[in-house]
Amino acid sequence: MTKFVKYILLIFCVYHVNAQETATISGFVREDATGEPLAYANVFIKDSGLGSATDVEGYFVITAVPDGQVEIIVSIIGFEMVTDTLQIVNGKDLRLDFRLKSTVIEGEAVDVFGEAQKMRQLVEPSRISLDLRTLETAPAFVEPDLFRTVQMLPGVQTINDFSSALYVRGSTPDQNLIMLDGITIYNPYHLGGIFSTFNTDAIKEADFHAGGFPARYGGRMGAILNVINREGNTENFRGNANISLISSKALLEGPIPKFKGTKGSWMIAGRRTYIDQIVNAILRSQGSDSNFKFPYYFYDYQIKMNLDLNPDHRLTYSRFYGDDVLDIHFSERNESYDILSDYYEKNTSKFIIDWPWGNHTNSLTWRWLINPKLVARTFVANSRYRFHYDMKFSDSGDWSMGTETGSYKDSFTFDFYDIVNDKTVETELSWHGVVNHQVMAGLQIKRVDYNLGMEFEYSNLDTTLYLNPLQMKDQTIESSVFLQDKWDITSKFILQPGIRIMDYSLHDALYIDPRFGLKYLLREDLSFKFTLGRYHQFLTIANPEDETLRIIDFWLGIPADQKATYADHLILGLEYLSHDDWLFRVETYYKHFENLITLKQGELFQEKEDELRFTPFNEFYDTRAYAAGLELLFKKTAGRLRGWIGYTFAETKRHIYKYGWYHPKYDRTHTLNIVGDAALSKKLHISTALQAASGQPYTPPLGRYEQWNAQHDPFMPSWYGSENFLVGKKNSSRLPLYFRWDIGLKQKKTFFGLPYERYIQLVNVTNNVNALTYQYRNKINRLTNERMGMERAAVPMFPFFLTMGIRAEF
Amino acid sequence: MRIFIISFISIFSFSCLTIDQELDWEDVASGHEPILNIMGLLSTDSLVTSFINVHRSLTMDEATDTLIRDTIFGNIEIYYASRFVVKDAEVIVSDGTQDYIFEYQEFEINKDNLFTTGTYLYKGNDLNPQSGQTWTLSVTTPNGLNVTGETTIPPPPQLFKEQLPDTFHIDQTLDISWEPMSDHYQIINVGNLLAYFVGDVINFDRSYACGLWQEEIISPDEESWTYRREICDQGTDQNWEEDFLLVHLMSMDKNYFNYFIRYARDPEFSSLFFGEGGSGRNFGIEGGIGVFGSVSIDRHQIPITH
Repeated sequence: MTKFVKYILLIFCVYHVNAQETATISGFVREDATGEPLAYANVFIKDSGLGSATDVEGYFVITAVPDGQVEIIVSIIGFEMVTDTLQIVNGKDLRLDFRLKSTVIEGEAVDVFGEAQKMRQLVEPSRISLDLRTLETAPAFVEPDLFRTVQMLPGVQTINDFSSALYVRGSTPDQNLIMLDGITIYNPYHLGGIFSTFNTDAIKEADFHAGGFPARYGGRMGAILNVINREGNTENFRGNANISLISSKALLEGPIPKFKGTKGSWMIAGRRTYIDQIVNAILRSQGSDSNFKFPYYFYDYQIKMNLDLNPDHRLTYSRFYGDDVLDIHFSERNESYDILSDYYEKNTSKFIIDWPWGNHTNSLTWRWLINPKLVARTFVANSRYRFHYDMKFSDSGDWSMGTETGSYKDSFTFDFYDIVNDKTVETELSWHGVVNHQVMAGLQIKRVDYNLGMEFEYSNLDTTLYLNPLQMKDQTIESSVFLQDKWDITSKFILQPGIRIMDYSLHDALYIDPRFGLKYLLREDLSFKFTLGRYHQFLTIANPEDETLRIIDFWLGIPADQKATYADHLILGLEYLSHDDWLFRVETYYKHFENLITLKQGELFQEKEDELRFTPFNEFYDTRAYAAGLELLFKKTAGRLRGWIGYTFAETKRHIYKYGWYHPKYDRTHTLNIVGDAALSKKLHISTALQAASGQPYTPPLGRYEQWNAQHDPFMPSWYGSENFLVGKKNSSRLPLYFRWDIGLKQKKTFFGLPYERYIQLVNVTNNVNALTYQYRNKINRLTNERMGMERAAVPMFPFFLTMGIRAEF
Repeated sequence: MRIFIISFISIFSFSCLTIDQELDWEDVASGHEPILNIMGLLSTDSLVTSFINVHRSLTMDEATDTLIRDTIFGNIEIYYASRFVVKDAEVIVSDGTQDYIFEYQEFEINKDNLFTTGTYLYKGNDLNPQSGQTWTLSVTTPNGLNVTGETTIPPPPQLFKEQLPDTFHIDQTLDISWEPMSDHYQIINVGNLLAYFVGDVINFDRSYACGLWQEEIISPDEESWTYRREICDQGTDQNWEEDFLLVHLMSMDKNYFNYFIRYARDPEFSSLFFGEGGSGRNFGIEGGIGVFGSVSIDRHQIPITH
């Protein structure tokens, strides 16, 4: 620790020595037509060796620019290069904002300065940025989906076709930090995971770290996916609409009118499935008097507003609302009369399921350019994940028989809910005060309220019975500070040390996560990377690990009596960017997990000591794990043909004393992904995605036996056997090879001058039967009805199917 | 507008364009070697007979049952015989001083109905396990499978019957107490007698007089339990005056507790499409799976009033 403090002091001393000698040039690089910031634009002083890359907000800083005339050049893939000649006088700082015009004509080859600059700048390995074009052109399931595209990257494994959850280098989805404009999203899925919650139309870029991420990110031990929404068009009002098989999407954006020196932009994007509306309309048009209404839909919308108060201060408001809703209402009224007994009854019964689940987030960010070298971002956010299953049944009525009358009423309600309410305040400082150093520091306080509960209520006219068998309320506060420095020791050698210190309110300990990154440029186009770090996590999901299909996640803070979970990451990598736009990356990693907890899978209820106890969410197995692997990535970053080929060799093992070491369900030894997008003409694109992977582990049945059961009747207890499978070691067999090939076609057209696209998606074109798991049944002798032994068949995932849609722009 | 109309029509036409996948059912083979699966129970109670069930596991490709046509007790019967059952084992239970040979009994007649018991019973009347004794089990089959077992007979449970009321009113509570045990779990079951006479002898109707049937696991050192009828919305048209409340207290050894209580609700493996499974737990059994346990019982009955 003492050495670390000395190091920081040294940086500050160097800063004061250098600070007065030269000028600093800073500013923003934006797209001319829309005003969107351009990340990783290359900004450099010609013939000087001085330069910088823009950050995700388009901001750049070039320090130590000597007096005199300099020529500054700004370039990035797909945009016209801009040059400007400046005069630096007496080390006076300059603020320059650039607007670059797009040169990209779809399908044409362009320079790859941006990609090269990104390669030069980024120290951390295992990082890939996906832009809008990649997301929109990759083959999709029904509609473009960020998670489906990320699933095709090396190191990312899938559990099944029905889930877009990300299993990254042995980490489960709860170990990934999924952020939308910096806000944590807890359940980023719709329809039980088939779709991710992010509307691709609104996404500007998604930054994915498969591991080894630096100290500025914390709280999770797996991967980082930071989704950055578009800021909105600062110049014109624009929009687009998209109709796919299941949903309609729309996006509107435009400038905020200038007022007393302020300016800004806004963007709103929304999506809703409409199959419920159509089915209900059809039912109405057919004059159906049925009570049936299609019960399910999901929606989401995102709002983003930027307001530049002056050149140094910007406020950004970001909001995301997304819900899945299952809404079932049945009601029935009956009237009857029995003339013989003179019995009359009027009855009303109702059955209601009201089940919404989803995320609501709000955030306000204040960016302050304190001086050209020091940028502060202060962020206040609230993210709420809510799952609430509310079931009601009631039966009531009145009766009369002769002169006697009466009434009755029975009602039963069942509530099951999990609410995670995350309130975060953080400040992050980015400082370019010392030549060849970029220092970042920050403070984050995160208060998370968990409320997991279950309630039953039964009532009739004279009695009410209320049960609350599960109530787990917790409040955790996670406070953390971080400091990291990116130090360009030489033009070829970059270090990125960092440290993150965390306090978790349920524990007495202080947790320290050291992070270290190193990058060495063997050549201008070839770099070696090494990363080592520790990553703590203070929350988990309490779902059974062998769940075949998962609709929702149950989040819990790490209990006070459980140790904080953590993982150590070790990554070695080589990265090569060829002159003809091919990126080749090879990485090997080892991850070690400690103090994981795995939910005990068993019966829901257990009676003990006069109380009904709900066990699934508070009984865990202590679990250890490791993951190791080798990943290869060939990525074509520009040109008429783009895409990547990724290969992953991976092994993940977990250890629970009950099972010993075993492969978790998501472990696949070999995975090959091929994703391609080719411009056949200026208007026609074809894209393809192919995935072949080793089968997933499953627990094989070895035989059958009779499980003995006892019926403890008070008169005469009895014992009997029920047939059960005798299973082998947990997950010791594997399902057959997974293979799926999807193809997408997209064509641009105009209709009375209105540009639009129409697209077709072919999913699983070979109609390969990919096994979700096996199902078993007895072979029956049709003559004697004897059960002749077991046979099995795969439970298939997606068959071949075709979807299509259109997307219009205005 | 035309585009949108065409698109809508197309979308919903094509939404049906999927190709169903034929399920390819295949035989399942496994290298599993069958093992013996025992359910052995020694009882000190005069109404609950000691018995040993000797079953074996089956491989995945073995048939589960066989259609049999046989003459039993003078009648021609056609039935499915379970292949889990091992009928030709040598089953010996011993208290260390004397061996008791259990014999296989395939059927019994109860209320003129023929039932398959498929269990091993001791035909003599000198089997008399006593609390604290250690009993052993030896099962050997002609094809060489062998298991052994051991159980220690639990102490006899003792209801404090003198503290129980003479009648039980269904709207009142009933305080039941017993002699506590320091090392053994017990289980108490309460129900009504008439339920046994509604429905057939096996599937009697517990919903008859619903709310009465209850069960409670008693941890060591617990000494009382307050029983009350649970809220029940079903009709109460039965004749209470002819019914009895049955109170049944059973002590058990550790093997029985572990198999039927502690781990009964903890399936080792479960899957949506697969069902439940396990590695086959064994308590009190060596060389196979299952349980060899012992129980002791005390019971009482109280007339029900309304």
